[in-house]
Amino acid sequence: MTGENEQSLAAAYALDVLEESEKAAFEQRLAASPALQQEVRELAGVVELLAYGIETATPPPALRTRILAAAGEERRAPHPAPAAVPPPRARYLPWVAAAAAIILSLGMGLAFWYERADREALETAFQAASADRLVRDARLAAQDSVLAAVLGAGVRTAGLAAPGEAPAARVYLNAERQMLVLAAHSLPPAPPGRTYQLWGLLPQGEAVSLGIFDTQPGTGQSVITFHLPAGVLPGATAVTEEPEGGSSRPTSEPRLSGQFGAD
Amino acid sequence: MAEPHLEPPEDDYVLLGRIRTGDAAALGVLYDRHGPVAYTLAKALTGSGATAEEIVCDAFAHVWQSSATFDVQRGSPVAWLLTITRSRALDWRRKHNRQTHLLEKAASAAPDGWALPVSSPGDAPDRSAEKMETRRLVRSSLDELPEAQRRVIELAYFGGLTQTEIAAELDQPLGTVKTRMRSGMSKLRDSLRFLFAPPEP
Repeated sequence: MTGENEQSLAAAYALDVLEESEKAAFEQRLAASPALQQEVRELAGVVELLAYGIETATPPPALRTRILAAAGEERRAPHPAPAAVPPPRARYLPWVAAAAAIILSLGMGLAFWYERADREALETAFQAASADRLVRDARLAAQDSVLAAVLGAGVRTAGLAAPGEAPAARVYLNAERQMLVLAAHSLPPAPPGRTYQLWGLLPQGEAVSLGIFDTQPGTGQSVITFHLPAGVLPGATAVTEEPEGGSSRPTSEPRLSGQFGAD
Repeated sequence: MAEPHLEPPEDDYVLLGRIRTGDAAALGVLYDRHGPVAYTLAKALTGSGATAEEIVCDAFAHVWQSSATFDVQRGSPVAWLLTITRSRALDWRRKHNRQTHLLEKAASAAPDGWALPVSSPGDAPDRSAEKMETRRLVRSSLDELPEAQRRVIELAYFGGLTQTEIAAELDQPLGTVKTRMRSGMSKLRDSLRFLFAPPEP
């Protein structure tokens, strides 16, 4: 619970009109109090909505053009090597974006291919997928979710393969969102009365069920989003075949497995 | 056991992810969705269309260049955009000494509405049903506030005034201003809560 004085400060903070002298002290208390953080988040939500209470003004069409032109120029301009720390994602995001573009636009059949391709080829593939198509795709909520999980900061990925074989699926682990996306590209559906079950393997050797799934007949493809239970951060995942409805612990040897790499 | 399921749409977050990769088309989509409300806000605060254009242009340039600094803990992408917009518009006003004029306007506003002209959904450039419903709910929630509470919030939101400054402006005790701001914001939160329920991480 937060007191009345805290609530009054929180309201001023959300409206960004807290006195400078009070701000630092408030932010310290904020950092230490989840209840206060929740309060500020909600009040900030109110402040965001206040803009919708104003009579709507229509921006001139040229404004959009101008904003996009400025962005385009900024991108074309050569970036001087900054003395400050470069954005941490710049190194691998093109790769992830390319992977996402391939997943969304070209289908899962290519998911295996990019493992061998170099970054340049991937970026070409990314460019080739037209912006319009990406925009259209991004409107589909399910794909949005997949893309969001795959694009997140610090996403780790692993190929899922049977021993000695090429990967039949790939998993993307987004620890920040506690999400895991499984993209199967050549996994035949489970036999009748059976299902696939995905397990997170914890460092101490425990297997935690992440959910059951199946793939599409014919293509052996599927993209499934799983939620990681709180506190579960698997170092590896495995797929077993289980009776319909799944099992509380694995009852067979893994059909596929894979360990997350550092990247 | 966690069943596999699909997340609700998180379009703005996805767009920001793409903006981080340098995808200008995503910036265009973000503008189509939220440019009009940012422009509306900037124009209401500065009273000038040309200035509002500058400010919105700057705000989107900031989103484009600094998308990596966006902190999901602090609110949604549109909240971030509107915070940048409002902060720049208030800066502009402080610099141009427009405070007094607009405060007079706010203080003399009709008692039954947001000090600035209220939204008329028919004129909205973004006519999506969802946005119209948002406008309607925000309007009616503001209408339901006691006038004294709404006035305090207006002065903070449109004027960028601190509680002490509001107390001086209205010639009221600081404690009264604090109570009104807290009560008013708390009522708005209760009536609008479901509109901004953040997606569970």
